[in-house]
Amino acid sequence: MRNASAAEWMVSRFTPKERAASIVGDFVELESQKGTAWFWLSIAGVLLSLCWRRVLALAVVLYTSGWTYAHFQMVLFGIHSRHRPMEVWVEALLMLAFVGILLWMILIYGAISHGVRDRATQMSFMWTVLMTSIILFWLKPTVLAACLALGLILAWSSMSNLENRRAMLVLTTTTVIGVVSGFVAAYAGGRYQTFVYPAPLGPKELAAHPSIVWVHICLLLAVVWNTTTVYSRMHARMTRNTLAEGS
Amino acid sequence: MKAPISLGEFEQVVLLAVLRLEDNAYGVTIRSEIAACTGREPAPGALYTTLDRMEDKGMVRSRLGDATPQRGGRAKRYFLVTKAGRAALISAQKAYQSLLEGLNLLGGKNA
Repeated sequence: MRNASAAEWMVSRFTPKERAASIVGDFVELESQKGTAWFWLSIAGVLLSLCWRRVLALAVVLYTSGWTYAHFQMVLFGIHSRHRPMEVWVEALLMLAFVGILLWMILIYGAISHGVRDRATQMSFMWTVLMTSIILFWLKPTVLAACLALGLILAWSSMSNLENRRAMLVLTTTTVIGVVSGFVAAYAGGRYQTFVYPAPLGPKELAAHPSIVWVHICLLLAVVWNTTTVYSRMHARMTRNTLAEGS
Repeated sequence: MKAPISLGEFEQVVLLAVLRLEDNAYGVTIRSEIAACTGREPAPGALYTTLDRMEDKGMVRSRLGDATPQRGGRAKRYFLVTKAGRAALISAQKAYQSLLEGLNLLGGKNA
C-alpha cells in the first residue's frame, strides 16, 4: 500500500489527482497476478509517456530563451542604440525584448506540448511573428506602422469567437505572469550580485564568484518553469471549459 | 457541419474496445479486451495517455466509480464513447471499408 501511495504521488505530479488515483488503482488490481516488478515498470511507463513532452519542451524552451535573449539584445541595443539616445528608449526596448523572448518561449512550449493545430499555439505564432517584426524593424516607420495595423486586426480577430478569446486569455495571462516573474527574477538576481560583489563584473570576477552565475541560471529556470506551468494549467482549464460547453 | 476528428490506429482500437465493453470500460478491462481481440497487450503508458488525449478532444467521457478495497480504496475510472467519438470512428471505418472494397482479403481468391 505504501508503494501504491508513493506511485500515486509521483503520477499525480503530471496528471490530475483523480486520474492518477484511478491509474494506480488499476495497477494495484493487477499487481497480485503480475507482481511488484510489473507494477513499477508500468508506473515508469506511465510517467514516461505523461512527462516526455514537457521535459522536451522545457529543454528546448531553455535553449531558445537563451538564443532569443542574445539575438534580441544584439538587435535592439547593438544596432538601435547607435541611432537613438539610450536613455529615452532603454525601458521600451527592454520590455519589447522581454515580451519577444516570452512569446517565443510560449510558442515553442505550446507547439511541443499541445501541437501546431492547437488554437493557443496558432495564436501565439501570429503574435510572435508580429512582435519579432517590430523588434527587427524598430527603426523603419513604415514597417512599424504596418505591424501596428496588423496588431489591431489580430487583436480584433482574437475576440471574434469563444475559442479565440480563450486562446487569447491563455496567451495574455501567461505573458503577464512571465513578465512579472521575469522582472522579479531580474531584481533578485541583481540584488544577489550586488550583495556578493558590489562593483562592475568582468570575467575574472565572475570566475571568482561562481555562485552569481548559478543563481542567475536557477532564476532563469524558475521563470521558465513558472511561465510554462501557468500556460499548461490555463490551457487545460480552458480546454475543459470548451469541451463542457460543446457536449 | 464540422468534419469528424481524424483518428490514429491505436485510438480506433481503444474506442472499439470501450464500445464493446459498454458500461464496464475502465483501464483493466479495456487493456484485457484489446489483448483478447488483437493478441497484443498495449503498453500502460500508451493506453492511459491515449484515453486522456481522447477525453481532452471530447471523443470519450469518463466518470469515477466507487472505491474498492482490492484497489487500495481507489476508484475505477469508467469511459464512455461520446457522439463525436462515434462519428470519428464511423468515418475512419468507412475509409477502411472503401479501401477494402473489391480486395476480398478475408476470403476468396485474393486471400
